Amino acid sequence: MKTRRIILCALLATALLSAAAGAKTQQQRPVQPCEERGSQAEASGCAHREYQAADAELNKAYNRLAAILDADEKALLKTSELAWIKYRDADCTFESSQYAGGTMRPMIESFCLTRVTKARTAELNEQYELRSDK
Amino acid sequence: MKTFLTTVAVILLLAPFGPGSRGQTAEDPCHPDAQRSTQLMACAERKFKEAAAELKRARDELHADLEPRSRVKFRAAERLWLRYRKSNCETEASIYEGGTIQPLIELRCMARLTLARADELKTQTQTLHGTN
Repeated sequence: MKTRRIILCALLATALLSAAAGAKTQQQRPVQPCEERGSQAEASGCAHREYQAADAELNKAYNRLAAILDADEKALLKTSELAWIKYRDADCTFESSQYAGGTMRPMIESFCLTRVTKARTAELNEQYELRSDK
Repeated sequence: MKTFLTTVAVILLLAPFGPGSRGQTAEDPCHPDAQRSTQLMACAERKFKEAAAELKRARDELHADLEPRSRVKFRAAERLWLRYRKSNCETEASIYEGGTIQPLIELRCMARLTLARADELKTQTQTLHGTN
């Protein structure tokens, strides 16, 4: 009986440990296509260009939405956009500060800027749809 | 031991009838057929609370792994995000200015942005842990 209990405990411990290990692996950052370039400088350049493209998309979404707003609403949109820019910069400064002093830092910052910018573009498109449906 | 097992069994049996299953009843304000404005508002409130809880989980997980130096930067980003969310959702609801639907639109916007922020924090937790 005692042996069976020990075996049970061991099995339980193994299951818990492997579950914890699995959770840890899932929390890691997936490698981005830009990182499959040869050098870190190339990867950083690629990440920066990706961000520029995302920023261009954001500008399109912003202008499309602004075009259907009256003057008062446009002023509100501008206020939100300025608030968003401050948030974006603080968010990506924070994220890339984890890599401060390392060669990966600029790339990590670009990945963050791209991601946050894409989320903002989706948000502006959502607002455009809401207003078109009204 | 026997009492303990009985208690566990009773809890497991009762679990499906707990708060989680209330959503299935006809009273559910988030039911697709719910149309009264009070129901829609109650549904939006519930969705917002769920989003806030999700954000809190993601936030706590990330925050726990940060060094003190990074926590300062993280909190700065957090404050600016709160301002952005407020400003953005006021803008979004502004077309319904004065209308009864305005608070509903604003709350739905808050829930949507809160969920997006929770995703953002989950990604930042991954970044913090590096790649394989």
